[in-house]
Amino acid sequence: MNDPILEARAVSRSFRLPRLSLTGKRPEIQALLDVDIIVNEGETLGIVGESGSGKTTLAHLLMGLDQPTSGQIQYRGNDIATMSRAGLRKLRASMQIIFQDPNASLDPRLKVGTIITEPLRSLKINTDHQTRLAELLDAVGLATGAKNRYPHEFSGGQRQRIAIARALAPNPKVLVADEPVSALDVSVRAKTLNLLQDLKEQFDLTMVMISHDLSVMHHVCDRVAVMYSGRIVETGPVEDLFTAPEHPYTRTLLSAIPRLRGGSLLVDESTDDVEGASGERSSGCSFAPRCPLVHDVCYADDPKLLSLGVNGERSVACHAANN
Amino acid sequence: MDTAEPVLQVTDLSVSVGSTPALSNVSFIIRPGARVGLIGESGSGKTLTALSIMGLLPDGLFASGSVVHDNRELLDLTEDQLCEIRGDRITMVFQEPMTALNPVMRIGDQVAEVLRIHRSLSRAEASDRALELLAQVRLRDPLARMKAYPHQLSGGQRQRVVIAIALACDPALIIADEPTTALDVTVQAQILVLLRDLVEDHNSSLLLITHDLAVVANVCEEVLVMYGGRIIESGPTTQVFDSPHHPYTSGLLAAVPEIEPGQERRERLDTIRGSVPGLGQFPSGCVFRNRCDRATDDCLDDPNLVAIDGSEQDGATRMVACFHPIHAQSTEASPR
Repeated sequence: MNDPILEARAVSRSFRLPRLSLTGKRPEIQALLDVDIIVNEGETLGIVGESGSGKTTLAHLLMGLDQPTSGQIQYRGNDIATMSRAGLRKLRASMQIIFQDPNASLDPRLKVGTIITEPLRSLKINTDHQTRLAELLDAVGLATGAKNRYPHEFSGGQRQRIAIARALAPNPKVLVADEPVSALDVSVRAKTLNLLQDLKEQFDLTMVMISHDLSVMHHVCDRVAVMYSGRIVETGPVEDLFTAPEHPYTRTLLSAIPRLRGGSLLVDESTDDVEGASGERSSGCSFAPRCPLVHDVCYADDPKLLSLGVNGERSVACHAANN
Repeated sequence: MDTAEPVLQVTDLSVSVGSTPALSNVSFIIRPGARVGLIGESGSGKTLTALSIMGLLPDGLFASGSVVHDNRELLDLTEDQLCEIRGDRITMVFQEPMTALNPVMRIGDQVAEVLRIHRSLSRAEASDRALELLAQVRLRDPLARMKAYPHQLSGGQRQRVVIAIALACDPALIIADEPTTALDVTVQAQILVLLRDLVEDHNSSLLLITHDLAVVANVCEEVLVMYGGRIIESGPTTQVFDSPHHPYTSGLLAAVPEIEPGQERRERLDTIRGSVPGLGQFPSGCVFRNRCDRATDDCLDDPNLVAIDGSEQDGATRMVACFHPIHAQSTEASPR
């Protein structure tokens, strides 16, 4: 296994919400609680979870776009909270992000060429911008003429390519993709996923991919971390995790995917959706209210993420699975 | 399946935006009790088809052709006549439940409102029935939820309320336009199962519009595939998905990443050449011609949607609009 490039150690992040009444206290939600994760150089790590599970918060923390309430983020062994300004600028160049909605992440009043070379200017990177621009357009499969046009002249899939080219401009080591294909049509989605895989090889990237779509995850990732209610409940190599999920939540997620062939959806129909991702928590495992394997201990004790088996590639946070 | 009169018969439905055709000669029927999926990518005309049926086209757009429900031509009805049908005989479930619900009205009153308007129930009767409906959509603690406002519910719960409203008058047809796109995967599964079961319990039919092929595979026994404002393939879902005849359907199916237990994942996903043209930029003749590997000079003509001989199963026939359809045998070998 390669060396870790990014590492989160016991990271927590809480947010204060606006007050609900004039005299009341501002409620606080725990978006992330005690998260440990390692991103190894050269791999594609997937982070899956439902809305509100903390995926995006974790990604922002990993990139240094937000500070953890407690815990540490390390880039190649250095704590990013203590880095100098110059160090941070270098860091920004080596970590880039693409967002879900390319309509919202591209400035409609800038030409594509200006958009793609903007990181080079803002990060003060000394290269020939025009040469770099031509390379990037070629890498993402856009014509050279695209640089003189505006984002609205492109389709959704092409706009996502522009966003990808911009992210690649400063020659990053790590590319974080936050739901990069959720807003795209089926056939465009396939092309974009193929492109990301090609670029990963071409530019020697480490990728962190955030998605709620397990089929997409399964297709592109080497390793997957499953999040629920602000913590990681299971991690492991993608094939192992999908064929033999250990955490009951991972199993719930997998059984909920509509399959194209031979599929018939089965769901626990006892109740309406317990959308368990909100920040209010009592003690114990946060999945306990929805869990089919729940025991008394689950309400009393919060399970730790412990490694399974001999090689330590998989870990799971569940009392039932750890026994 | 019986030979009863279809719940909805759409014939040669066309809509133009200015002089550009957006829907061309869309024809299909929905039989009583059928669950039909309408799939296609953005811009294929799915939503436009639904809006035409409901008489909800934006100002300036007009539908031609025919949409018959219960021996009445819907396209000829006045707004008042349509209002009697909408929400009663034909109802809709939209993608985003927050915009479909009234934010300043209690949940119970919103469900009861439909019954008071269409069934002239008294306040008390309508409220009792609303409570029953909220229980049917498996909303927890329905009595307490009657007094709740939409913002106090989660996305999945709101969609349950919208479904309760859609079912209130035991409609003949429910049109659901991307009902689960905004929801998380576990909630999506619950809503789909709920919709599938309740449509059956209420003896309704379902037209499910979605871009998600797997959703259709799990809910609908028939499927209509749209591309460029026309239906290019239709038939029983399992048959169409197992051995697609139209190159577009085949390409679409191959582009979906699938988790198949025990099988190596594919290195690359198959893709369809080119991209969906903008409105008015589709080629003449077959609309898929410029992206199709099987296209020849024949395809300069516009193919009709024709039945494939001997394909009838439970009253549903396989149809395809292609001069060079993929044969069932050869698709066995094609990559999935």
